[in-house]
Amino acid sequence: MLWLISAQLVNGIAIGMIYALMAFGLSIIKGLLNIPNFAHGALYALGAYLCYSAVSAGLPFPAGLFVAFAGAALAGLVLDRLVVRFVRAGGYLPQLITLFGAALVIEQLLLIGWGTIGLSYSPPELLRGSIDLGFTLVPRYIAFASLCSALVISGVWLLIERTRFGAWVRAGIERPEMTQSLGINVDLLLIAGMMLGAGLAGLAGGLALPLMGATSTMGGDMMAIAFVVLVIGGLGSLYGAIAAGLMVGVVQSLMTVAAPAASTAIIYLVMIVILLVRPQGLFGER
Amino acid sequence: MTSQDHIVLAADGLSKRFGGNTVVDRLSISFVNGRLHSILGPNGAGKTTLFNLLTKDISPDGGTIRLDGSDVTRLSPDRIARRGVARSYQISSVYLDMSVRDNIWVAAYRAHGGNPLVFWRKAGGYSEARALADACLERLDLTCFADTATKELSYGDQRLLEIAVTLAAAPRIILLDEPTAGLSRKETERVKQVIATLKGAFSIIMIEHNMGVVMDISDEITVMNRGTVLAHGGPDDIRGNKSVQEAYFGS
Amino acid sequence: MPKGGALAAADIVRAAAMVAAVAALPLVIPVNIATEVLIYGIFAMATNLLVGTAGLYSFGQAAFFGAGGYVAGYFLAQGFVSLPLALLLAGAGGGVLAALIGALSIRRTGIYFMMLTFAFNQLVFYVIYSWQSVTGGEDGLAGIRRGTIELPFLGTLKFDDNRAFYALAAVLFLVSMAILIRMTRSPFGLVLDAARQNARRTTSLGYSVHALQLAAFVIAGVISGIAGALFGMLYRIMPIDAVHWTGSAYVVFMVLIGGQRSMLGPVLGAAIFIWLQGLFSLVWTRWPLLLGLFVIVVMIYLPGGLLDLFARVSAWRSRLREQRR
Repeated sequence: MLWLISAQLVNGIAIGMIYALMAFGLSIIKGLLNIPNFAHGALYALGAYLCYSAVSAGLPFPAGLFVAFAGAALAGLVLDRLVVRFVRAGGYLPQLITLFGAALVIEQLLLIGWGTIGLSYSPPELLRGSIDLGFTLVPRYIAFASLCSALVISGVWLLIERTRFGAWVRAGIERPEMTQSLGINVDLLLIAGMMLGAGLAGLAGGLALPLMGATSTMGGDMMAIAFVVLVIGGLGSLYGAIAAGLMVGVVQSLMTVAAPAASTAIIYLVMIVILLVRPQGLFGER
Repeated sequence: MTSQDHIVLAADGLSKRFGGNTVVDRLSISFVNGRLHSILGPNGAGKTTLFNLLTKDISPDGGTIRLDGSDVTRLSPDRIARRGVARSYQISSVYLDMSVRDNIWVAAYRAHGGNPLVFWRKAGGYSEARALADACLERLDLTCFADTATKELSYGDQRLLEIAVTLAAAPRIILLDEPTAGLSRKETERVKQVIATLKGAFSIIMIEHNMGVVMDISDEITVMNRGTVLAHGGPDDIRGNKSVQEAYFGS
Repeated sequence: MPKGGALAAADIVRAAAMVAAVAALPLVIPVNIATEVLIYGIFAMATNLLVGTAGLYSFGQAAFFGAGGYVAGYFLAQGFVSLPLALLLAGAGGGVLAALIGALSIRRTGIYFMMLTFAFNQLVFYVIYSWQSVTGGEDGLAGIRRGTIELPFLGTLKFDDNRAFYALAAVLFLVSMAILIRMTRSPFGLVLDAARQNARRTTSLGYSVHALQLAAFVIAGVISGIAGALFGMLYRIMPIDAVHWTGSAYVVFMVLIGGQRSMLGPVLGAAIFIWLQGLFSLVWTRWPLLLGLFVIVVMIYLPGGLLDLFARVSAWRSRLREQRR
């Protein structure tokens, strides 16, 4: 039993890191552009497909992950120029529906590009098998994926906290009305935010490829959970999503031991309770 | 019959903090029936917050509010309104996507005890509410705009409509938050005259920056600064008060 | 009053036109598609009471559509045949669920209200998904029969014929539309509209805004539940997809493409959506792509919906006429 629980815990951390990557991207886009990116799931799926093609073409897996990131970031740029910039001024509901339409388009393009049959991929030789920690076995790929997510999240954190670009981003999130007067090209800043957020979704998709394969509809449920994570972390808190992602991943994994059928429903219940008790989220300030 | 100095509305030790800022600080104030009581003070003195507390738009952190002697500190804002307290807002809060007449109707219907959970009858079919609405339009010379879309009114006319809506709520106590802000001299004069005609029939509490208006029509004046009462008295007392001159007139 | 009389006359003309359009619809498109248009029309009008009139941006309406469909479907699949009772149960199911969810959500505004209704939608979805013994889980609730109406002297009305079922849907559609239009013009509707524009002002006039909004939420839940029951009966199965959050997205989309300012908007939106879905799916297997493009184009260029387009076209034509003079 203990063995099962610790295995699920490890699994939960890995899934949680992917949730964190997804929700962190959503959080950046929500913070900077103030839109709920309902195409985030489709960008995640795009990342998985791009990673698949890259490794199929002979590139090493880490390069595949980079392709997933860069490709999704480019898609984010296209999305911003063709769609998002026109609805930035509207309300949340029209924005949500518009991006939902964009997600439909992206998902169908994936089917056109890669066919209707789901793709699967096993990690490279080096990342197969497990590491024995004594009390539990940690699959190597899970360790790799967690480490990789942690590195990227730390990297983006450093980017936002320690660089001039990051200072602009923070200004854009905290005082959107001030950024114009700081002499920053606001449009470029928003595009960069959109690309960064989209790129993180693509990377999450690439990391998920060896775990879950690639299908055009893989993004829907993942995105729904990413929104849960975002809300639990706090819509006003840029980094809350990271901790909340880990938490949701672990809770969900542990729940599959206790009550498999209810494990996903529980996540939504947690979100509802948090929204009712602490609407600003766990890490948000009022 | 209430006596001349019957206190209709009073606050005792009222406090409100926002973050670390104490905006209203243990403030006590009372309003006498039928009087026009103006509230002066520099920006940030806590005047509008006081209004928001009195109408329960926001809840106080401490202190009590009494309406006709009974404690209403815990009542919801709609209950306070139904007890006869109506207010106008500093920022126009008329319904832009409605006709001028419908704006007033919404207030007048409730003032006549209309139940909003009526699903089938047509809103226009209530003659009493309509009559009251029409009378309020007439009172502020807005009759000619009755069927106009509110968003097409000039700013000044929207401010007048704001006051008309407040009157249509048929209150006993009226709180006016800067009724002449942004109005032309002519419009200001009209609003001043309308308020003057309301004196006596209603208890009026008014936040106003236009000294001419305040000094001409007020019965009582309270000067606020940093969330507390700095001075209180008739227009002449206030004009001669030294600490008021220092804090407010900056001399 | 001559003016009131003229208005009433215009209303009668409009009502007659609507009845004629509903009668003609199955002659133009296949009868089951026409039925689906009416069912989603009912659902979209109920949603518009929230989105358009009350300004409540609910993103979880599929939960109530589904609740009605599953409650009535379960009842009819168990061998009961009373259609009025099935519809009553569906309305009650949608309404009770809406009262529960609404009571917890209505005080939150903006994106928080959206996210709460969305989370509740997902919760309902997973409950139905997991409760396989009753709901059929992933496969949906099959074996739903259409039920009958017992009338004194006239005998039993059956709806196995698709045209008869269309007639039933048409009656319910027209009744819902009449009720909802009337409601938006009633004191209730006007005060809801006022609260949408400025909730604080409306409270300060003595209205308990949250109670009114909750009432609207429950009414929308009841009507959505009835629409869901009709949907289950139409195809004799209640698919799990009908409760998924994408269903909530689609119905909001119908409201937005049609236009929120009148109840005709959502009906137009539903008709176009169902019709386009049918048309695109005949043309190309990748039809959701076209649908997605359509969504984007409408949302960007016609934020007021198709009603706005009609208004613009008629304004343009009258300007043209004036120029000619």
